Amino acid sequence: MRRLSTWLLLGPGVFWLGAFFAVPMLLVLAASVMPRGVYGGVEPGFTLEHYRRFLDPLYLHVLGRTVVWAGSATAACLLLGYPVAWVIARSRRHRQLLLLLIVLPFWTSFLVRTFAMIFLLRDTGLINSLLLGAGLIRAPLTLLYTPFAVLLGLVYGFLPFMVLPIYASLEKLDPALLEAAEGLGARPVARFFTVILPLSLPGVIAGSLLVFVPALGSFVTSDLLGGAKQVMIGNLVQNQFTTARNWPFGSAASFAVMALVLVAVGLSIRWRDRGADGEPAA
Amino acid sequence: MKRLVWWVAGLVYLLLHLPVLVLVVFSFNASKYSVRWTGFTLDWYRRLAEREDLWRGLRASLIVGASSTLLATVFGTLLALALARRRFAGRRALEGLLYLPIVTPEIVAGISLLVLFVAIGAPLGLGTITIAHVAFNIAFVAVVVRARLAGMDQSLEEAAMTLGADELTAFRTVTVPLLWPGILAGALLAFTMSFDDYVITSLVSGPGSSTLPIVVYSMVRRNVEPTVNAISTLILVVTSLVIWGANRLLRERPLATARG
Amino acid sequence: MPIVEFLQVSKRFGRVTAVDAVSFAIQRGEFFSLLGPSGCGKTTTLRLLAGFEQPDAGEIRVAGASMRDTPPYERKLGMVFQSYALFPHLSVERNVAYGLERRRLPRAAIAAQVARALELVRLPTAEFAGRRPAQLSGGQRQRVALARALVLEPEILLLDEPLGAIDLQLRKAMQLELKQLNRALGITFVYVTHDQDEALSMSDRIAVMDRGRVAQLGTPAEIYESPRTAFVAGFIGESNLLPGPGGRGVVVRPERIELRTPGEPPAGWESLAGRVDEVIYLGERLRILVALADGGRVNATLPNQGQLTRPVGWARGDDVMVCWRAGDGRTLEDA
Repeated sequence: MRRLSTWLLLGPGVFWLGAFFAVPMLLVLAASVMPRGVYGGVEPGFTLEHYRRFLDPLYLHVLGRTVVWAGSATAACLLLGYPVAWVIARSRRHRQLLLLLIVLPFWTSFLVRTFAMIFLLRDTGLINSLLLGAGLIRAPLTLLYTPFAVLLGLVYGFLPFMVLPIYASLEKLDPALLEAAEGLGARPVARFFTVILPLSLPGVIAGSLLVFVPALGSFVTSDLLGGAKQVMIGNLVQNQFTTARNWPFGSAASFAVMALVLVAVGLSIRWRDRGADGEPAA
Repeated sequence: MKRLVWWVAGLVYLLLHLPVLVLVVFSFNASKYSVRWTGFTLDWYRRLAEREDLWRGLRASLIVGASSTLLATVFGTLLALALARRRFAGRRALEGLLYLPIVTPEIVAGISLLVLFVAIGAPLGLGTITIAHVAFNIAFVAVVVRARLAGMDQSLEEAAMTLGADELTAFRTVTVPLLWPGILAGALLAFTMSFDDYVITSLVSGPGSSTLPIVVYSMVRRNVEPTVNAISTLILVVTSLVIWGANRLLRERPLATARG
Repeated sequence: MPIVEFLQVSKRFGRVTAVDAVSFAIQRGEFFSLLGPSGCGKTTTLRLLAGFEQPDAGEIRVAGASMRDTPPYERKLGMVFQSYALFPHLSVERNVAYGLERRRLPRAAIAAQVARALELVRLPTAEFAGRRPAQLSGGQRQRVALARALVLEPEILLLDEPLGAIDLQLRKAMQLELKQLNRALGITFVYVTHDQDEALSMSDRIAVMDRGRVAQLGTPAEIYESPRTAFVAGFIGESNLLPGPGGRGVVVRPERIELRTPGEPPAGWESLAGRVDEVIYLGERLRILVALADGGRVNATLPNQGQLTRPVGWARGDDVMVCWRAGDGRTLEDA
């Protein structure tokens, strides 16, 4: 009865993903436990030295910094993005426009947007020029190549990812629930914390994930806005495969990133399945 | 309280778009180094046109973008159909595993492919870039199309069958027309991600196979002239037009006639 | 020869047996209903007949021919889906024409048949042909779904709870129309529903299903007045389970209960003592709930003779005798 064989449907996609995603990952796993070769590649053998190297405070520091920055960026995006999502969900006439204005940056080149930050923050950039011109400062502030710049870049880059899922959640919110709460004596702040926030939690979790995970693996932002000093784990990995020429260590570092990512995803699934009603997943 | 929310939202919108607008404005500034406005000029755009590397980069990006989008869209759509309409062993697992390429950080995906290509001795060039782009885009397309299929009333295809259409005909006359906006959206996403990609591309490209983002990246790093502003503006304008056009084209079509 | 035969058909989904060795035969032109609560297997049975599922055991025959290797698009059965399944991207006209187009009929012929089908379901072609399903009301969509199936002149029409989303008044009108179509066109209707009023009013015969099995198959009168099991008695209409001869329970319908003042019951009647608990006004009848001395409850229905002019004499707290003719008590097979 089948005219289109299921194999035909699955075949190409599964093959491609298997050959060019799964297999490479396995190779990286293998490389991470092999000793470093002369030219930076691998030699036959088995060793856990690369993973052990991670316990070196230097690298733990990078790992920790990455998590802290990604977390901070996520928190900032949440605080800034939630009101935006709220406003869009509430608006009727301008909703399409407001959505488009949030979606547009999402589709715009990440490089271009990061460069916009550079243009603003550098010593000869717009902010410094304005402040100097207005006489508020006498020498340019070092804004670029600081942790602040990286954080700003992360927030700027990933904000739309936070807004859209929260908006989707809020849009489904039944206004009758708020009216019911009001009728039962809840004031605006109470209504927010007891009705709106819990019911928009799936969107908040999704949005947080969509910001946190790419931020963890971020490379471009810290490279362009942070310079050599603000190293995140993404930069570390890239470094091992280019200048530092230590592929096995880079592979181990990659798995460290993946581990962080999977933990974040796992936690978010657990929280999401707890449900808006707070009940543990059935 | 309500006031505060609106103010914050307004501020965010402003801060989201202001930097880029500033970028655009200053692409027309005659002054090379400072941000003082010294006059309107199209010089920087003229300089862009003279840059061979940019044209080559654009060409490379378009080739890679078009071919990788085509493959990723076809494979991803077929995958989504299989997940939505067929029952097979490991379906649940596949559905979950499909998110793995999506959450994997680009740096990890990039180096893993580099390791693969080096291990099998494949020369790095537009071919390897295309393979890489297809790999991470299949999952995105599959997820987008899958979502669209999920909202589609399955009894539509069954109804077609009771009216004498075999599986292929039902697919052609009912499924595809209704799925089309989803497929298009997936393709658009795939193309944009391919065109804009830096990290993965930089790792699996060889000498002479630089795509546009790679060229722009080195320009940004040196960030000296407003030529960078000019190329940024162009990218911005083209992207915006494409998005606006796609938005008009993909007016939501109902996927099922709601009851009552 | 019956037009549809199910011979010991079973269907399993994983560990759940949705249809359990079901057998029945449907006669040509009949209005045959599959009735039961959700999960009883009625929809699965319909889908087996349509060909969307294959039986794990047993055989399905249509007009004597086995349907084992016949896909849905070769079975020549019409079907109206629960969600109507109108193609949202096609106009009403194109929807109805769909099956005819698959048969590659010439344009003019298609147009004529579509017009006739729309007339049959009382949707004026001029007004509705160009509309999209999204622009129609629930009732109108249902008619289009009907027209689309009927235009192909099937021998059998399958209907999967088609009137569920329609409001009461319209539903009653549509039930009548469907019955009339069944009679006028001579098409066999196989109708799935969970609404027992619907099944009783429309069907020639009803198969009451429970957990994958046919609990009872018969005419509406047989099902209602002679239920064979507690399930059937409870699912169709209201019923009272009262003590019967030999210590077994009997089922007595509320309208067969008479209420009398305490005393000796007439010859041939059974009785139980109790007290009136509630008098519920239902318009055309009155429901009197009686609490029995032994703790049970009886539900009696009395016709309303006009509460304002000739009120029924019962009020809360009255002592009453619940009586029924011995012959009206139906012994169940499993109580």
